[in-house]
Amino acid sequence: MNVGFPSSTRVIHQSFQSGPLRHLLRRLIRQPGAWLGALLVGSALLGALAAPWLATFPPAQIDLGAQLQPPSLAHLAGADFYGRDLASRLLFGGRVTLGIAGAAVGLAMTAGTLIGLLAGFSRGWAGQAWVALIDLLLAFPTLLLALLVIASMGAGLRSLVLAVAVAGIPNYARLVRGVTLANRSAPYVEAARAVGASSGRILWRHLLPGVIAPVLALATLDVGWAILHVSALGFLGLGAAPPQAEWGLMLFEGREYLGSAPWASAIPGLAISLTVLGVTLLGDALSAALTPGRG
Amino acid sequence: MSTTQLPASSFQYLRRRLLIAALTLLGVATVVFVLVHLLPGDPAETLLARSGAPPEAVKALRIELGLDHPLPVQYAGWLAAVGRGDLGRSLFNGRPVTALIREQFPFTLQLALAAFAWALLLGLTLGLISARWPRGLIDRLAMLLAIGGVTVPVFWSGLLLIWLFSVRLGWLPSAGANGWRTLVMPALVLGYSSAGPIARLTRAALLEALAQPYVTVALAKGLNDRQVLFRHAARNALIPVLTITGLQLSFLLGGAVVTETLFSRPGLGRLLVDAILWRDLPVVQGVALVTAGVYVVTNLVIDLVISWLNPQVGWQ
Repeated sequence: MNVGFPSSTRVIHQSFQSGPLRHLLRRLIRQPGAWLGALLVGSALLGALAAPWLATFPPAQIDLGAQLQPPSLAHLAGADFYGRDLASRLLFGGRVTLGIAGAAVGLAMTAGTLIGLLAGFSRGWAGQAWVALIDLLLAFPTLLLALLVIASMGAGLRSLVLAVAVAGIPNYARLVRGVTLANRSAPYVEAARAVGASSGRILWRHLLPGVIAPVLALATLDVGWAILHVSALGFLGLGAAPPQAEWGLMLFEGREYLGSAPWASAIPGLAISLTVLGVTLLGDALSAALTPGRG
Repeated sequence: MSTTQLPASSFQYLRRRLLIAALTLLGVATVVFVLVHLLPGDPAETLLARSGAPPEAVKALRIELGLDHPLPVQYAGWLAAVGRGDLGRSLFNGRPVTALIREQFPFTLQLALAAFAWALLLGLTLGLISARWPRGLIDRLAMLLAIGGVTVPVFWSGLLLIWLFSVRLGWLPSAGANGWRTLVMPALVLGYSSAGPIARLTRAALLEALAQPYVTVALAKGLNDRQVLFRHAARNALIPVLTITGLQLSFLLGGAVVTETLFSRPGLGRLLVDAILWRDLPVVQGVALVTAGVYVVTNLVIDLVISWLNPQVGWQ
């Protein structure tokens, strides 16, 4: 499936060299896409966080009398084959899908930043070796990397987080290495070295702060990509396992009843699409705000 | 620069790219092996435990699969076999993995090529349309369609098509792979997901080209907008568009996994997913290696085509 978001790595890298955050925010709120994006992402997050209070049924409660019921007042989004309330499952499913996507992005971000810092800071063959490793991982289609991790660890929520994170790591590593390489010989780093700062201190106190902003910007864009991967693996039967509610898995279960209960798959499908659309609009608005003067 | 320099440096570039690609393939094989062998469980045990076999049988199978050797020995053995073109045998039906891949590959190739053609047609059209009338309603609509390609998951857009054309209208079969009728929906869905990035990049590259001084000159000469767009801007926007288009092609070849599962089509993606579900290790390794290898080789070919079109690229 496509996760080919246009790479904004370079744009992010360039624009964080200048302009304080306040100006960025001001430019950001002038983008109409930012508002729509924030609205979509905000509702998805709110639904997931407030699921226990908003849901009218426990997500796994079976009610054979309500089997495949169309949307009604009692079941706002209808019910699935086991009579489970789809609206409630959607809210709780958001917790799993968004939670795993968020955890995976956080893990990828941390590990990728660490690798990128080391790759950008090491000189000689060690630096070359890191670069070779990053390029090698970039040579894999991301879904294939995720599938290989699942193949070796088995399905389950923990391996799902790790699988999506591994697929995401090389992008962060590449970005951070670029920024670190550029800053490595900057006067302030040379000055720190001159007064006798250790390598560890230079990495932690002087180089790390410089990459935090671009990494967070990339992570924002990456959440949409991660949601698509988590739900794709769920759909393939290699992610979350029944009776868990997860958007991709819900879609997979709903497809069996496409003829008699099309809402069972349409509702999780719509939830994934709108959330990813929201993240993409936010990311686009962020890139546009980062590069003023571009259409 | 003199003309005699060109062949020498392109030859060097070619040699360097080929060397890098060969090393990448070796690295890809290593990553596949390392990832698959992180496996905490033992495939021999997993396989036979289901049938409740005695421990001696598990031991015998482990020896047969070479799992009793230390990992570096297994790795060297596997790599040597791969070098000979032997990917081992499936743990389930005992058939050579290369034979399984050879059977499934044509289905994936067919799907990827059809999807690619559709992605190019749709992506370039949307990009051209929105660059021709930028910042208007048409631009907004075209770009919304393009964003849809990257935000709507393939497994949902495909399901919507199945619902409309198979369930409601009964025009197209929802599963299988015989004849063009079973290819239409998978190709439309997979291609649409690739058209998004192509459209967005085509638009950006065209708008950037249109802002160049030579466009102003062409307009001053009295050429109309359309002539400028097609004759001058499009030519210069070609290389970035080609780069992303190539990436999309290699992506389609490797990324048909979800589409094949949704439409119950045979193919490499299905083979891989089934092998993972059954923990059929040799098949997982073989398919992953071939898929990643195709990806590396496709990217190599694209790089070479680009350096041929724009020799400056190769000289860096």
